Amino acid sequence: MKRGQYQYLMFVYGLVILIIALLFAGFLFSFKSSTDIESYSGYSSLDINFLNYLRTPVFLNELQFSMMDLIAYSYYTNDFTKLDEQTRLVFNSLYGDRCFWQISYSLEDTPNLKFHIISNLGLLSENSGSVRAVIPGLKGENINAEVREKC
Amino acid sequence: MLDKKGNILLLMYAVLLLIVFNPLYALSTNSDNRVNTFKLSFGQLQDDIGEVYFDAEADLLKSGQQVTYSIYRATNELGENGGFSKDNLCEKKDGFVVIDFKDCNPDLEANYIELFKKYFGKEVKNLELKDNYLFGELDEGEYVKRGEKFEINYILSNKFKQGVLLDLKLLSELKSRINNCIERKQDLNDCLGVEFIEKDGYAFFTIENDKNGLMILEDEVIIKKPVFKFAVKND
Repeated sequence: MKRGQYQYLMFVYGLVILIIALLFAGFLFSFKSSTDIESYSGYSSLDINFLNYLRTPVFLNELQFSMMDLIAYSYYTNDFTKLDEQTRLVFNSLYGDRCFWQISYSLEDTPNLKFHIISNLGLLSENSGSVRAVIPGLKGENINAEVREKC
Repeated sequence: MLDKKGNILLLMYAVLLLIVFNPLYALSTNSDNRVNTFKLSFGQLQDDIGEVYFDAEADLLKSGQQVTYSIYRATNELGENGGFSKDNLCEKKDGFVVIDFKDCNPDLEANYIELFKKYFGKEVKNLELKDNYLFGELDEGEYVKRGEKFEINYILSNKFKQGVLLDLKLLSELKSRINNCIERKQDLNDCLGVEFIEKDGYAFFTIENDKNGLMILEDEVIIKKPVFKFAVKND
């Protein structure tokens, strides 16, 4: 083999090894997730929004209570006017026109029997993002509150 | 151009690269190595951390609300009965419990704690009343979530601090001042500086809370201001 050809082959060989090494390194240190976070419907701020909604202070007869008190109060009095008004105030200011939202209430023993539903545009399907919390009632029973959103 | 020595060095360099990167490649394909475990769990782990946090917060909110309802009932009973439970044996005048500073002289904080225990019905550790706040500790919550390559184990202590909606400190002081005035045989109007209603030789006191409400379930839901009502003889 001529001297020039030998040097050329060695150079190409070294270059190939370097490229392969760089590819290995790239593969090894790539942090591409096996799961795309954005594809998770559950990964949103809905949880936090819902907890804040339940903690929101409300006034009944000029006395301060929380939204959880208002839910229990509305259930026993079967008057949802104030709850509707306060809930719309919270969720409309939160979502504006960007999302559909729906909040439903049922007793824990009969989760499919909603005793009240509030939404900004009809009922949302089961595949929309949702979270649920249990609120104690005044008599010790549990009330399920579930919020759904579709943005 | 490279000479013979340079060629040898280049060859050595290539061989060294192979020696270093082959094991690294083997490591990168090994599913047990931490980088790969992390890559597999990334995304799912973050999602599950959010869920665990929400579950824990929702449970705290629920137990906090149970405490609130017991506080409503304890505050109502204590306030309506001059610092006692409703089945007290003290003298009553026009629906007000008469405090005589002898047999009927309530220890407001101790009675409040007893009433709270009665209504809450579950064991509360380190229950105490301090500066009109009720402190206590409920059973800690344990939240476990297992993924393919990870496990979340979140233990959350459940301590609470909630206002009792009555200024028990101020009421105790007022009670002492009334007692002092009576012992010195001073006119309560001049001695106290607190409004009350005089009727049939009794002074009727109704001390109101200004902001927070009580929600009590009897035959129907009652919303009311927390009040502390009692009477004293004012001959």
